[in-house]
Amino acid sequence: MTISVQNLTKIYKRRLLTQGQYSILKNFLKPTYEKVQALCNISLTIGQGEMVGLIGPNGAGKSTLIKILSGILVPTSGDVRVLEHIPWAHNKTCQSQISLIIGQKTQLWWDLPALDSYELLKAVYHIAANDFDKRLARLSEMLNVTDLLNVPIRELSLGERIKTELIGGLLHNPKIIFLDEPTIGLDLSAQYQIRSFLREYNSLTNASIILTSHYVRDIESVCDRIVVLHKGQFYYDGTQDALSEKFIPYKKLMIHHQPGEYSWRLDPSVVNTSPDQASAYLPVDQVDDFIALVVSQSPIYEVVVEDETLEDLIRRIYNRLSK
Amino acid sequence: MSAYLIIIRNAVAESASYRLNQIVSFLTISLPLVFAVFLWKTVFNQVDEITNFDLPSTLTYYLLVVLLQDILYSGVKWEIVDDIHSGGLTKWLTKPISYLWMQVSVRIGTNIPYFLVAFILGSVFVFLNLNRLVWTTEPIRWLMFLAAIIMAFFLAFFLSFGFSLVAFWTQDTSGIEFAISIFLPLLSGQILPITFFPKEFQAILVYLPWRYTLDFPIQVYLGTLSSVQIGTGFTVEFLWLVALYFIAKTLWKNGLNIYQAVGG
Amino acid sequence: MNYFSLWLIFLRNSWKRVLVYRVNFLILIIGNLFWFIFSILFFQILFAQIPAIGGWTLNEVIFLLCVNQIVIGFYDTFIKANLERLPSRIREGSLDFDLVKPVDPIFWLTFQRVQISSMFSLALPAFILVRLLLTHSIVIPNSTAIFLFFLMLFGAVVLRFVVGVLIASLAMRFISVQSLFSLQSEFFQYSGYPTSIYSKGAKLFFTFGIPVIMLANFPAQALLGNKFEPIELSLYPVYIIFGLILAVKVFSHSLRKYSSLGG
Repeated sequence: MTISVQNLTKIYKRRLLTQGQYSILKNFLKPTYEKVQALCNISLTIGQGEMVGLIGPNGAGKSTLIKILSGILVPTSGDVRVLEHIPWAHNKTCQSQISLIIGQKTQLWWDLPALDSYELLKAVYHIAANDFDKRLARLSEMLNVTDLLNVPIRELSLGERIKTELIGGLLHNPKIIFLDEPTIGLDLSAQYQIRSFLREYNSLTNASIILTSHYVRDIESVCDRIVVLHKGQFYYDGTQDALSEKFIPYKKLMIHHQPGEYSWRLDPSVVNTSPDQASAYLPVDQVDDFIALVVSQSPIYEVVVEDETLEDLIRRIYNRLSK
Repeated sequence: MSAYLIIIRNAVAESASYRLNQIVSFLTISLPLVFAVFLWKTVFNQVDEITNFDLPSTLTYYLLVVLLQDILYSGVKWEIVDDIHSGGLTKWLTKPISYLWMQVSVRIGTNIPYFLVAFILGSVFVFLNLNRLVWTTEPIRWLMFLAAIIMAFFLAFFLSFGFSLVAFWTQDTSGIEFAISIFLPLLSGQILPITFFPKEFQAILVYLPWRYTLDFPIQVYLGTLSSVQIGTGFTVEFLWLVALYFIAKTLWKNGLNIYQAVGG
Repeated sequence: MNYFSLWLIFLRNSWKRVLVYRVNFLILIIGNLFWFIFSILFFQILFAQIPAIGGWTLNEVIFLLCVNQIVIGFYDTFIKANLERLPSRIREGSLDFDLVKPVDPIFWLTFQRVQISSMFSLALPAFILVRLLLTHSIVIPNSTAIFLFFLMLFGAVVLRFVVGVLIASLAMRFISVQSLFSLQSEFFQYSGYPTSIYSKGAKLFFTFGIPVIMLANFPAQALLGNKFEPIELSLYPVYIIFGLILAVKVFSHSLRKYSSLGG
């Protein structure tokens, strides 16, 4: 197994500042802490070449998991092996085969062109000169940034920066790539490019990709496997299709009707966008009855029925989780 | 009035919120004094006095410098520069509160934890050097000292405020901050009492405002100045105070026009 | 891992970075020398009023200040920018990338940035020092003295490294240690003061307690060919080697316990 996690738990200590008259003195003399449980006894395995997406509401533990797997964080308890090594032991062989890419943060020198930082990475990872040249050429072509490698990082747009960041993270041909919110803040076109790049890269090199994102579309288009985290525990771990099957599918209805105040428009599943248009989000087995109800109350011009997207499904799951 | 008090309180809380920092500030403040004692004891082993200063007055001088250097700071305040450049000033303009007096409150508030620490330090220092410090019991000297301190506070504040307002006219204040940081320690008496300087320099420095932010009030307390020097000093200080007040106000008005013309 | 060639890349990148930021370079260089210049002015004004401080002449004091500034210059050039930025980098969470690299983390975190402006600032104290030597205000007795001088200069920089690393280790646990860095910088400014001002007890404390005297006085004494107390000479290498081992151990330990903010 490329990555194996067993009974992993991580608890943070967070400092509390109290309010009140004498709070300043109290906080000074005797600070108080609270315990935050980031990960609760989770287990999973990931094979070589798998593309895994980690999603979950804020605070679910996604970034914590990535940091433990990449060796930045030490867990409170549990067993983790990445390429047969314990990640936080920082074994050099292991480190030379993994890569970490964090959205909106760059490991490249801010004031210098990407090429200068790449030279440094070449020395750090002992990349042979022709391997380096070949990979650099191929990666920059795939991402369309060949002309930008001589521009200081701070002068690049966010999308361009992430692309140069990606190249930097892949020059040493890692077996595992950890990506923490790589597309955050990017425009749609850049997001699309990054996603197709990741798919293409995986098929070329069979690298394992572990990705966290708030954009469900990232996960949808890049990852075969979805892991849903909530409050430090796995809520779901499996394929996208199986996820849809696990939950009763919903349908989205778009109803174009003659203007009027009808009682069906007050139904909680209905969102009214204008006096003559409304949309509804319902379980598939309630659709027929609902349409019948609508038709019985109001003249209808048009009804469009759509399958819910993965994004809708995930949102629904988050709603359920927050209750 | 209460708004300014709350600002003071928040400034206190903010500067007191880092535990380790407080203990370390305590130590950092004491450092110059520790080495000063060693140095000056050795110096005054060989001479009895240097231009009116003996060991007690020199040690007391540096103790008072340490106590007063923050609240009487007359250099550029980066918070004001930042407010102007980043548009943070706007939120104050819409409130029924004077930006100038707000900054006065912030200065007082930020210094209160400092004073608490400095008071403890000062007491320890005094205790360790009881027979080596100047302690005056003449009420008139205390009165003059108090007057000089209050004038110094506002003088230093208007200098600081005025220089910071340069931010209205230029993005790059590093040049002026640099120039100030070169001259301020020398001109204000932070490094050495002005009377130690060669006579030619003293003649100039007495007519510049900076000397009145530290050197003058401290020397008033120590009694190392003649009555003529004290009289001239207060006069010059008063004139500078009035002038700087008006300069600051004018800079503020003109600067604000520019600020508001650009949209903040 | 060829650490030296890695460091050469650090140097090259730092130099390139300076070329990008040409503005204010001169101001930076002079700014680095403020305390040094003020100290010289201070002693010159003082020495106009008195002949000597505990037996030290003006030239000897200036010599000491130069040696001190050179030690400070080396620390500022190679080490300071990196270690003293650690607390804010930890706050931002940007330390993560450094922990993932197959490079010794202490090396990586200590040497990445070479502060070119501080390198240039070394010119002034070096110049004054050489002038003192050329005008025979200071006399070097023999080549052993020169050798010992450079050895102790290196030892002084190692000491600054040890202190810096110990403080940086604290930054892993307590986020706001910036003030500690300022404190130690302040302490080591006073290394330029002549040792004749200290009482016996104070001298002991400032040699082995907080190694203020070891930093500038030792190399200065070495160059002048002055005799050291046997206890000083024997404890000196022990102190430094022990400090180095301690610093590396503590830092490694703190890195292991490091917990990044955020999630």
